[in-house]
This record gives sequence, structure tokens and C-alpha cells, in this order.
Amino acid sequence: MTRKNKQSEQKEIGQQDIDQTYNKLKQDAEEGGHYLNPDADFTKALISGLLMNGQRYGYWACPCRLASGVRQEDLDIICPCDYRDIDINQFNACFCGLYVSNDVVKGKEKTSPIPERRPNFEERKKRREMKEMKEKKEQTTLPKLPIWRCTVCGYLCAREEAPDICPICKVTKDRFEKFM
Amino acid sequence: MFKDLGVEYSYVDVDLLQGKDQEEAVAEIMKWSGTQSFPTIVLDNKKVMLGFKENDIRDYCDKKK
Repeated sequence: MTRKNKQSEQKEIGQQDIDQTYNKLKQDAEEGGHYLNPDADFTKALISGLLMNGQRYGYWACPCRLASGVRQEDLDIICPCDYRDIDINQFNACFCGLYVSNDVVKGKEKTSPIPERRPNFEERKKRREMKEMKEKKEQTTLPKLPIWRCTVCGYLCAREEAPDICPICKVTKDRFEKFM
Repeated sequence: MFKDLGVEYSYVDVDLLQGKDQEEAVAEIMKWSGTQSFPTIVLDNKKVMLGFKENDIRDYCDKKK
């Protein structure tokens, strides 16, 4: 297990970086049928945290969760996380509040802190191992093309390998799981 | 906010801790709430509050006055 030296952080996150990322995320969200939190100051504070985690870990770990520093262990909490859509459906916001429901944007609903849906460390480890075993088994028995599912937005595609970037929500290849 | 309320407090940035220190801090949080959620706030060493629920914290402090 490798951990980056957290003391070696040097760069401050600049306002320009935050604003640029905010605009980009806002545009991507709207194109994909999602909504950034309309409280711009709050949202930019979260984005600053994301950028900081990007520097610290090399990936955008959720700013409201504790990242391990090991990408493979944190795949489910790389923003947008695997729990975003289900939390928005149930609580009108994702865990950290970066993304919200359309009702929040319209002012019909308000956001508040929500319970953590992410399973604990042992449970996640168990699930990862089960998934790996299942995928290994299927590789030897399935001759036809596998179907890959984006764990963030649910996009499905049948091809030898998952795409490098999800064409719908833009997350990376390692966020896909073998669906069939 | 605790400063404004005149409440004594201490805090730990768990994400900035390393190795064993972080494990111990996480174990302490799990002991209080059974989950890993940030911020985890412990009031008077007995009541635990998950997430920054500003109004709830203010209510709690008002009631004590």
C-alpha cells in the first residue's frame, strides 16, 4: 500500500483554478442532466477541496470523505461518486452537497447533511474481492462480448473493453464494471 | 462558529493525519457514531452530531445557557 506524503503539499489552490473548474463542472452537469449546488460559495469551497485532493492523492476523492490514498480502494468515492444519483433521488443532494436535485435548484427543496451510504472498509474489501472473482470466472466462460456498466451514470456498452472515458458522464475507465 | 458562540472546542483534521494517528482517530469516530462521516462533532462528551447542522448546534448551545 502506498501513501503519498501529505506533508509535501506545496501549491495553494488558486481562485482562477476554482472558477474554471466550477464553470466546467456546471456545464458538464447540465449537459448530463445533473445540477451543481446553486450556492456558488459553498460549491466552490467543495471544488477547492476536490482540487486539493487531486494534488494530494492524484485523483478527485470526495472532499467530505476520508480517502485512503490508494486509487483502487477509493474508486467509489472519486467525484462524481458511485452514490451520487441514489443520494440525490433519496435526499435531494449527494453526500457532500456538490450535486443536488432539480427541486433544490428550483427552490422547492432544501439540502441538509445526509447519512453516509458508503459501506465500511471490510464490507468494501469483501465486495471488491467478490467482484474480481466473478469477473475472472466470467472471463473463462463467456465467449460473447461483455457488457460494461458505468457505475456512476448507468451507461451500458457491449465491447471488448470499457471506454477510456464514459461518453455520458465523463468518468474514467476504471469506474466501469462488467454488467453481463 | 464555536468561537462566536463562546464555546470551548478542539478539533482534528483527520485527513491530514498519517498512519497510526489516522487509524486511531478513525477508531475514535467509529466508537462515537458507528460510521465515518465528516464532520463528526461530539458535544459535551456525550452527544454526537454528524454533518455541519448549524441550526442544531446553535439550538443545543442556546438550551445550555
